[in-house]
Amino acid sequence: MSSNDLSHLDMGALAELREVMEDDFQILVETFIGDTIERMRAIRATLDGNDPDAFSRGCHSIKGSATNLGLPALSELCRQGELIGKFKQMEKAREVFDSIEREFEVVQSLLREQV
Amino acid sequence: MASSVLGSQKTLKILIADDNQSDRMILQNIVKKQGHDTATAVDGVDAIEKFSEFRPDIVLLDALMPRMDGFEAARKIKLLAGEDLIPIIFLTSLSDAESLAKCLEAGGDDFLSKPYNRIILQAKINAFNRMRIMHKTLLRQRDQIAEHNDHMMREQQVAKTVFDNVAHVGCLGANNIKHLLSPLAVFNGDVLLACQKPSGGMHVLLGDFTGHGLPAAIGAMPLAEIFYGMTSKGYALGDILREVNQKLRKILPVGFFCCACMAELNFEQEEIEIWIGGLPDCYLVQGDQLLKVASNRLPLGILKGEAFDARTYRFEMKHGDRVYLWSDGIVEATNAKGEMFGEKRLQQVFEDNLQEPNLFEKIRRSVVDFMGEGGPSDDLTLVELTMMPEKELGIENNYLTNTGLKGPQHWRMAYELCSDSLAVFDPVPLLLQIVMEVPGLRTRNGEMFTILSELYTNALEHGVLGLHSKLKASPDGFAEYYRLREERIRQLDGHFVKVDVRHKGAVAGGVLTIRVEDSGKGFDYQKLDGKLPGPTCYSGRGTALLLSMCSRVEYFGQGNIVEVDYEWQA
Repeated sequence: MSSNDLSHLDMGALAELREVMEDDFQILVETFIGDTIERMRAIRATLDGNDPDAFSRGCHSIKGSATNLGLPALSELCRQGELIGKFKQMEKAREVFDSIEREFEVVQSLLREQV
Repeated sequence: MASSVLGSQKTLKILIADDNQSDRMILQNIVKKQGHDTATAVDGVDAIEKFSEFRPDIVLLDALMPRMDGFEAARKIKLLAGEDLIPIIFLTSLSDAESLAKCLEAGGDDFLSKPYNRIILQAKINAFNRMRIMHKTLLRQRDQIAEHNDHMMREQQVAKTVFDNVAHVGCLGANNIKHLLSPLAVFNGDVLLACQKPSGGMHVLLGDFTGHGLPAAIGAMPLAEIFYGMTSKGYALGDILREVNQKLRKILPVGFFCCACMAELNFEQEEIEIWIGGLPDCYLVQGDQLLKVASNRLPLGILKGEAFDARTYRFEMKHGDRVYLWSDGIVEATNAKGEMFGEKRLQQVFEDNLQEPNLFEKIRRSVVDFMGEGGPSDDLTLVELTMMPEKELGIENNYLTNTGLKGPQHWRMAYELCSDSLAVFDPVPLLLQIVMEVPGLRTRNGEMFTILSELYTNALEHGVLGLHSKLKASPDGFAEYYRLREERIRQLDGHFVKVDVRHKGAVAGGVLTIRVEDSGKGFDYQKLDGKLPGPTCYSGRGTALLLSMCSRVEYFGQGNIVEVDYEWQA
């Protein structure tokens, strides 16, 4: 499955989240963005290819919260990154990382519009 | 918000451990909205610390976390929880079967996949809460059962001690009794009692109560009390059985009763009297003859007083003859193949070993061998009674314990029995009981019984009923005597027997004076005039017998009043 086929935002999931979080929805969005920036920075440090497991763990972590936030495309890219690390195909790591970074930029502004 | 199923809306304490802050926030909001209290942890180590502080009811645990992952944290948490059930639900975006299985192996009870669905999460929390409550109930009930069981065992021990003190005052140690009885007999419902009669002879009762444990022990108490009490007061076998039957019928619940065999051994006459109800047939070995005594009455505690049948068998039993009694444990002893020992095998053992002096041991051995290793040999009850001269029994004629009280030393009583009461009531046990209140006289139970019984029988039969003892000299006369007795005992209007008893204590002993007056015509006692009848005239007025025990036997009036002195020394 390609990330191009998936939407940036799952509007149904977001509506439900908003209901659950109520006034905390904005805080949730900011927390997610802040945490993800941190994690992206950590993943970038593993791109030299020496620690594929760390690359995999980083992608896995973003995948989890992206899934919960209703971000199907970002979640799918992170799943690919997780597998690349797991199967030690670090030559493909940079390409996936760049895609993740681009998708994160997109959802960041889309999410902020939702707040 | 969906309402909870089965109304388990109680506030639970839920620990959420996830390294991902946004995920944690979402979970916490979902769970709080459902009305529960939460605590959060950011990794495995933190989760264990928070677990100890917060004592949660349910733990939501992320699988992959820094410092310590969820798998290890789950194992530690389960260890800390001990026997309490603290459900762990793994939070995971892992989806391969192997990873999910790993969650359960580590002690997880379920998992919840991302994205979190609040309806599924709520359903899981409710389901695990029900399981948790069920587990708590189970533990509580288990502890209660263990406690009740301990309590019951303690009670049974006490019951057994009390029972032993009640039941074992008898003469089971006599040389003519061999018995095999479970050390826990009171719990398998079998009871064996033996007691000497004041006038000589012995009563033995083997009882098998339905049920085990306390119901059997409770029934055995009055059985033993009545058996010992009435036997030592001189009551006859039939009276004792009637009393026991009535008592058990009154106290035991429906469906509970006592199969029993009661025997009276008469060592002088070399006779045995047997009543057997509900127990298996018993065997009498007379010389080289084997006689099966069929069980022919209903157990004790079933029939109403008037319907109870106390009729007995009577057999001649020479010195050396033996009688064997058992409860169904012997007949129903089962071997490894599930076969029962049965009546046939038992009879064969008897037939093959009639001359064997240790037949008792032969029977025991045969049953134990039949059952093979590990058979429940403590469920076997077997009794052998041998006829022998009373002096060879090897027991003191007195086992009645001294109360330690001094008792009455100086007293007098008068008792008068009138009209038709003379036909239906025997006052001797009652009188004996009063006399026995003097501790020093207790050891002379047998003599006291003989004197009272002789005086009363004389007053009633020769005095009131006017029966002449000479009649008894021939077999025909013997029958005529009893025919006349039956006839006359129905016409007692205006008749009486008065008994006057006095006791005067001395420094170490005393004098008991008994005066008996009847409403009969009396007899010409002047004829006795010092020439007392010889031993051949026992059926006179028993004067010789009385004189052998009393220091004075004197007649008054027209011979309808007799007075005796019985002197005793401590």
